[in-house]
Amino acid sequence: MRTSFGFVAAALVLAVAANAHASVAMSLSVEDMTDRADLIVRGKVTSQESQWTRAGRIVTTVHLAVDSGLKGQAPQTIDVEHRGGHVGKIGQQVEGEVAFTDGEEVLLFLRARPNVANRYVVIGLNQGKFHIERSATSVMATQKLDGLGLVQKPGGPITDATGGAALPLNELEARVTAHLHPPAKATP
Amino acid sequence: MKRAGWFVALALALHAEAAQAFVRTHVDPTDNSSPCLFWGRRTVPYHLNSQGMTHGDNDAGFEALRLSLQQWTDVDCSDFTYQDDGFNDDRLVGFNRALLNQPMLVRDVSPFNDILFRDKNCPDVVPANDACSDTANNDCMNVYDCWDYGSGVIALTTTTYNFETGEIFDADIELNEAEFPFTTADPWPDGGNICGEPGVDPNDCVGTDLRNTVTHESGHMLGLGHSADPTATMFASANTGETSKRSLAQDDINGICAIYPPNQPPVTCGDAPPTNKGCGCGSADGAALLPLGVLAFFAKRRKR
Repeated sequence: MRTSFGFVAAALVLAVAANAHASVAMSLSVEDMTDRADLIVRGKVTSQESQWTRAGRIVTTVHLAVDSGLKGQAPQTIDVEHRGGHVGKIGQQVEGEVAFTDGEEVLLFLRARPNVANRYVVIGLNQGKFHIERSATSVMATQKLDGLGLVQKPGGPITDATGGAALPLNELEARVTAHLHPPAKATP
Repeated sequence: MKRAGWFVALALALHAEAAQAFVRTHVDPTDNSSPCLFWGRRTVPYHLNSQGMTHGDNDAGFEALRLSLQQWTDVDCSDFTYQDDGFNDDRLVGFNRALLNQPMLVRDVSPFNDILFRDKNCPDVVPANDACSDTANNDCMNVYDCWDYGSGVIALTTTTYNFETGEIFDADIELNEAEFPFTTADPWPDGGNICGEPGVDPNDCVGTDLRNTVTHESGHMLGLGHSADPTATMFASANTGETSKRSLAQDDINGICAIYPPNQPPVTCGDAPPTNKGCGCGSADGAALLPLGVLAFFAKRRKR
């Protein structure tokens, strides 16, 4: 009796803990974003500034020092633009839009901003940004999907979802590379 | 003693879940200790854009929008009210910065709070090299009345606020009708009228349900973020054909009531003393009582 109660209690605790970390459903996998991206780069945020636009929006320009590129021709520095930010005492936020901190290391899936040279936007709001965390034993790439709304298309996810979980950076880069350069099929 | 440990662990886990399920939006999305967003006014007006939907029954669409916001007004444990201020013909979305020059910014200036559909994708209609793409302008969505947030995004709420206090000035909801033809039909009891299924009438089916979407977005509009509770309207994910987010779950009710208790100022967080830091605003009455009830139940069992 004691054992079964303990088992039930443990199961309940685990179930509750799992709910507390429920993740957001995804519609864009790493492979989807690779297909859509004009540029896939890893780099560090050197600075960022926000400004009002004529339309009453706040747009933030993030300056990124590029360390390496997986797709496209990236110069040493690029500008990434996103909606939201703050100018003086006024803040503006678009739920699910990407946000950065100074000095942050990231891997980004980017599409070129039409008509503006060397400016990019992150694909799929915050889906296209992976935060990179280095420790003595590992280098992890993490998708932070806070605030991302319902993006599941009719018919369900396009392909498998990454679920916003952390994965080793080399594994993420290998997935991108494998998708860009699939191994040649053996001919019979 | 061992069993008592289980009781405490279970109660704490349940409490953590109940207290942390709903989430408030912070002025800095990268800093959860920054001030939470809230409306200083308790009655928040909104305007439906008169153009309405391009697809489907426009009257049903307007009614669906009103019902979505009404859900939050109908909550008994809060006096927060969304007020329908009629139609607006203007298709421009953004914050009128001229208001910033007014001395009493928030309570003396009525927010506009637009809700409108965009039925064209900007890349399809904006000519190459159009000046609207310049960063200083960045207003293609207004100039060409188009959706400029990319594919796969159904709806977005843009909130403008005081970055130091979190007080909201204005919030606008845009709906991506260019990619998602919103539906307003009620689901059949057997769930047999999902759009796109064989034999289902396209005029009486549930696809991207408008109320499911806007009830969620209007939760963002009042300062709630995404909940960890999968039954909540403010849960981040939903499937096509889902309508369960049309009505609020207990977690959503806990959320609005924690921010806007009746006849009291809105509950702020982030800039509060350390005990209230980290948006400790989830301890609504029901959440606080739940673990106590669990402990009492098991304590009673032990006495037998």
